[in-house]
Amino acid sequence: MAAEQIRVSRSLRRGLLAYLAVLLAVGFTSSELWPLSSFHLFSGRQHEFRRAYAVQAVLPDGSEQGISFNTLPVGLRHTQRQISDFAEWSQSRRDESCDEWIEAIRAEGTPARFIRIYWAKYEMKTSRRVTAALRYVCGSDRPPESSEPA
Amino acid sequence: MSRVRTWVHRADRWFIAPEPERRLAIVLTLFSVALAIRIALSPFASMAEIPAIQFDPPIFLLWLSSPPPVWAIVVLQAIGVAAGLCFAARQRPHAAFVVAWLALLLLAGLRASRGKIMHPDTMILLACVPLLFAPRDTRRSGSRVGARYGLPLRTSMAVVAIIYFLTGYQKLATSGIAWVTSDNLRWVMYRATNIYSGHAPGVARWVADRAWLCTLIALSTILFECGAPLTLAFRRLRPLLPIAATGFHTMIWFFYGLDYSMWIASTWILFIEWDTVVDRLRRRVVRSRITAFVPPVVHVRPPESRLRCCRRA
Repeated sequence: MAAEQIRVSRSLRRGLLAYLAVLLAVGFTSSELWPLSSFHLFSGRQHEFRRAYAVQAVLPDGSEQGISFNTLPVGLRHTQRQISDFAEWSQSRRDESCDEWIEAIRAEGTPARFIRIYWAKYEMKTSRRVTAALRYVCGSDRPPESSEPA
Repeated sequence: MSRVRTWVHRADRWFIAPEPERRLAIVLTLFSVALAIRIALSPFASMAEIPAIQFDPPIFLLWLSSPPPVWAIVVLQAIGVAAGLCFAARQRPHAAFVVAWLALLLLAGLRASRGKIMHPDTMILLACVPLLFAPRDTRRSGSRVGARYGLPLRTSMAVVAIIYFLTGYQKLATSGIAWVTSDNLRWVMYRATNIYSGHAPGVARWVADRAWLCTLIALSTILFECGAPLTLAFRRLRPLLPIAATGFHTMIWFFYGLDYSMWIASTWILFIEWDTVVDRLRRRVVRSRITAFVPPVVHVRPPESRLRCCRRA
């Protein structure tokens, strides 16, 4: 097998090197241009406690039930990540978004009326909620006086 | 300055080092099969359920205001699978590979439209980009060796190594060495027992209860990820990358239920010299067939006296 003497085109060489440079640039600048990514996979240091949004469905009797997004239909899983954008959204848009979750959990047999979203502190070892501050109330059936708390 | 130039020159030489045409052809075939399997078996049709209000597509899907209907996703899946199989059957291979890659890009893009950055498909999508520019006349039966086969293959390997390096780099850049030395991984493991849909919460808790084991796993993870580019420079290290990746991602699947199978597949496809493996297997088969037909050689032991006469004084 003799090595071919045909040279690779300079434009292809430069193009592929530029691609690698973009890959590195996106990675080092922590940008996200999917599928290009900075690949923050488990990169944040975890402590004894962690903070996250707790999404609670409010039932007709006033009690609350946590929503597990892992058990929702595949198309709705991970959509809780959008709560971080809620601050920029209007109340009507938040209501519309929460209605989708309410509809999904109603289909599972939970008679949810509306949703309360808390900014909660969890104990990592037990996943027990230590503190929780109400951030949003959403869903078209929410009580009229409730809206975004301070 | 001259030292920098020397390094740039060395890197450039590395990328255009000649590789056998067969190796590239086998890599393309394996990737096309992997693309077809991924497209066929992933629940992409469920992405039609994403509510329009929560549809947050990546930049290349911004022209969509809501997810496409189920039938459109299924048609795209069928096209992608057919293209992957067409490549394997050598029917318009170049176009087929591009179509299969585009199909997975669009489908996985839909999956990444739920507000969370999804990484399971990024490795195969990004690793395949250089291969889209592979020479069109690449054949599995070919015997040519050249830089034009080496460039896409080696760039693709560099992509995989860079991605692993970035995952390790981000851990150190975000959390510092405390990512390894602190109780970080213990808490990650405890969280796995409570939140993620892992397959062995009991084992995760057992690991989390042992600080030394968590530190060891964290150290191995950083060494594996940051050390991945070394496999580009040292050929003998290359088979270690797929083995380590398999162990690492299997552990993640076991504890967290996260599917990184396409990351494993990409390392096996690129970092094993499949043409050499195939040749070795063929030789072994041929040898075993020959020995099956040739009568065994009877070794007659020479008399002691003859041996003695041949010995050196």
